[in-house]
Amino acid sequence: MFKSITGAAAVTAAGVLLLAGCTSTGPTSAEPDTAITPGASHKPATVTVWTFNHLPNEVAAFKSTLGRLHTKYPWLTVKFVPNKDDAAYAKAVAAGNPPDVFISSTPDNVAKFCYNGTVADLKPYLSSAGVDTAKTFPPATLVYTRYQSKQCALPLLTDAFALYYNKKTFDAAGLKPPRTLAELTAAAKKLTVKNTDGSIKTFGFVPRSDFDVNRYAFTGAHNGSDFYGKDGKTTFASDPKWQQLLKWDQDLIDYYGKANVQKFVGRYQPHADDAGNPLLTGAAAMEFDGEWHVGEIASEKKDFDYGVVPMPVLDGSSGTYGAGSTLGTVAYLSAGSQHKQEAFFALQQLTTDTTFLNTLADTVYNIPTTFAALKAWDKAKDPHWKPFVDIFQNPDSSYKTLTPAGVEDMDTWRAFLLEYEQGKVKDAAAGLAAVGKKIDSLNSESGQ
Amino acid sequence: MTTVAAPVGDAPGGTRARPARGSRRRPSRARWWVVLGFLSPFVIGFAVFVLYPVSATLYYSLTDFQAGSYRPVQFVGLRNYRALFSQSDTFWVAVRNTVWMVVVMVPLRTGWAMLTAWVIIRVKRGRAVYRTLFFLPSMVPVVAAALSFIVLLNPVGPLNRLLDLVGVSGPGWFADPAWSKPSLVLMALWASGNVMVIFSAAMLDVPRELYEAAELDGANALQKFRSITLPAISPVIFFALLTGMIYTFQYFTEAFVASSSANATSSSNDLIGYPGNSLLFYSTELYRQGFSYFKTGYASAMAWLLFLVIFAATVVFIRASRRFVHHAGGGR
Repeated sequence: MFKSITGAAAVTAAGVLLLAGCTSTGPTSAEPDTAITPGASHKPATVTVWTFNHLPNEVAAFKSTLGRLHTKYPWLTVKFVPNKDDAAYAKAVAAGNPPDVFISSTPDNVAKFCYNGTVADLKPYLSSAGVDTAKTFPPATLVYTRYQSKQCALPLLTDAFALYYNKKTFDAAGLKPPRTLAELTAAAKKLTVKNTDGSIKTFGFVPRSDFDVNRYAFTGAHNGSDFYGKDGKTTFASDPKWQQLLKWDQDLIDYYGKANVQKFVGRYQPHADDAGNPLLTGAAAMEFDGEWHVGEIASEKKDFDYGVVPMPVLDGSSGTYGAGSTLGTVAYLSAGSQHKQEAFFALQQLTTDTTFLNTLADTVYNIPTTFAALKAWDKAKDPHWKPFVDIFQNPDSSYKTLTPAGVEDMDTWRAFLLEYEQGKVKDAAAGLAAVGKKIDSLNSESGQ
Repeated sequence: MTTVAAPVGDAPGGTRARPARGSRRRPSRARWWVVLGFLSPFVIGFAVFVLYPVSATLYYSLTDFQAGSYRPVQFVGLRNYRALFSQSDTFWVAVRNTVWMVVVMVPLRTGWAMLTAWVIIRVKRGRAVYRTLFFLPSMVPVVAAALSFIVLLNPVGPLNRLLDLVGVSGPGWFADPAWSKPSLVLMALWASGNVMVIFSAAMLDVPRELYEAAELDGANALQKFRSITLPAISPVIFFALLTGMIYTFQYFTEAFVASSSANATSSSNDLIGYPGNSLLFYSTELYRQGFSYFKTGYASAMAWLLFLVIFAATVVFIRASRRFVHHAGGGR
C-alpha cells in the first residue's frame, strides 16, 4: 500500500514539475547587450528570421536582401522562414525555441510581448550601434514600437489611411474634397445615386466600422481625441468628441438605412482589395483605405481617375486635419535568442537598409520607415502616394498607445462600435462609459 | 425475439462465477514485458498526445499562464473559471451562438438525413446512385466544403443570381449576421450523407412483416412510420443526435473558414466571428483567447468547462434516451 502511494506521489510530483517546466523560465544569455561592429571579423553565425510575409514577391525581396547581406558579411547566414504569425511565434517561445528575429504585422502585440519579456529591449543595442531612433525613424513609428521606456521593436514599412474619392463624380457634382465630417456627410448625400426601384446604385460614403479598414477612422485621430488619456485610462466617458463621432457615424448609416448598408458591406467586403472594389466599380464615390490601395488600383484599373486626401475631421477639430492613424510592420529581437548580437545586426540591416526598405515598399505597396529611405523613395512625390507620406510624417499622426492587453482593447472597442451601429446601444454616453470601463479593466488585469 | 447467449463461464443465475482465490495463474514477468511491448505504441501515444496535454490544460487553467511569456506563472485558483462568467461579453455571445447551433442544426440535420434515407429506400430504380449522390458531400473535406458554399452563397454568387431571375432578392448569407448561421445549417444538411447512410441501413433492417401486419390492420403510411419505423430506428436517431450534439458543441472549422473568407480584408485576428460576432462559437472564442490574446490559462479553463458541459449533457441525454430509444427485443 505504502509502495503504491509513494509511486503515485512520485508520478504526480514529476507531472507537476514537468508542467511547471513547460511554462518557460526567463531567457539567459552570456552575450552583453551591445551591438557588434559591422565589417569586423566575426565567427560564423546563423540567425533565424521569421516573418508573416508569404507572397512570392515579398519572399523574393527578403531573400535578395539577405543574399546581399551574406555577400557583404560572409560570416552571417540568415535562415529565412516566411508565413509565421504571432500565434506561431508565441508557441515557439513557449517551446523554448524562438526565432532570433520575428517580423510581425500586428503592432498591437508589441506592449504585450514587451511586458511579458518575450522580446528584448533594443535600446542598449541601438545605443551601442550608434542608431539614434529619433533621427532615423519618423515619430509615428515610435508610438507603435515602444512600451513605456522600452524600445521593443523596430518599424519595417508602415501603413497610413486616407480618403479616396472619384474625381469624375466630384467634378460632375461641382464638389471639392471634404475637410470635415459634416462636409463628408453633405458630399456623401449629394453623390448618392438611387436606382428607379429605390435601391441604392452609388453610395456616397459608407462609414460602418467593420467595412474594409474603417476601424482606423475610429481611433481618435479624426475627432481630435486620445484613445487613452495621460492617466492611461480610456477617454470615452470624459471626452464628448467620441459621442459626436458616433453620432456622425449613426446619422450617415441611418440616411442609407441599416439594411442597405448591411447589403453593401456584405457585397463588397470580400472585394475591398480587388477589381470588385466599390470605388472602382462605381458603387461608392468615396472610401477610407490604406496606401496599399494605390498600388492595387494601379494594377487593377490603371486609368481610374481618383484623388486622395486626408480623412476629414470632426467639426471643431480642424487643427488635426492632415493627421491620421499610422501603424505598420514591426520587427522583434527575441529575448530567448542565443545569438542576440548577430540577430540585432540582421534586424538593424533589415529595418534601416534603404535599398531593401524601398524595394519591399514597392513590392507590397507600403511606406518606407526611415527618413533616409523616404528621401530616396521615388514614389514620395507621386500625387497619389504623397498624401500618405504627408500623413505618415504629420507630427499629430499616431496609433493609440499600446498596452499589455495586446489586441484585446481594440477588439473590445470594435465590438462595441458594431453593436452601436446595429442599434443595440440605445444610450451612446452610457455605452461609451461602459466600454471604456471594460477596456480599463482589461488593461488593469493584463498588467498596465 | 432475440436471445443473447450467456458468456462462457457465467453462472446460471447471470452472475459470473468468481474463480477461487489463488487459482488464477500469475503471468510471468517476461510475459508482462511482451504485453507491454505490444501495448507500448498506444500507451506512449496516449500518454504524450492525450494524457499529458489534457493534464497540462487542467494545470494551466488554474494559472495565469500566457503562451510566450517569460513572466513567472502564478497559481490563481479558480479565477479563470470565475472570469468566464463575470468578465467576458464575448463568452456569452459564443455560448448563445453555440447553443443555437445545437438546438437548431443538430435536430434539422438528423431530421433531414432521416427524410432523405426514407425517400431513397423507396426509390425503385437507381437507389444506389441516389444514395451515392447524397453520401458524396460528406466525403468532401470540411474546409473545401466551406469554401464551396462561400462561393455558392456569395451575395452576388450563383444562388443569388438564380434568385434574382425569379424576382427574389437574395440575402447576404455568410456576410449577413442574420443569415450566417442558417447558411452553416444549409451546409450541414448538404453534408449529412454519412448519417443518411446509417438511417437507410436501419430502415432497411426493420422487419417487413411488421409493416405487413400494420397494413392488414389498416394503418396508413404516417401511422406505419410513427409506430413502426420510428421506434425501430430510435437507436440510430439517438446516435445521430448524441454525436451531432458533441460535434456541434466543439464546432470550429466551418465557422472559422466561413468568417475568414467572407471578410477578405482583415488580419487573422479580425476574422473570428465575422460578421458581427454572429459566427463566434465557443471553440472559436477559445481559439481567440488562446492564440490571439495568448491567455493560455483562460483558454484552458474554457476547454475544461466545455468538457464538463459536454460530459454532463451526454449523461443527461443518455438517461433521457431511455424514454424514447427502443432496443431490439422489446427493451428500452
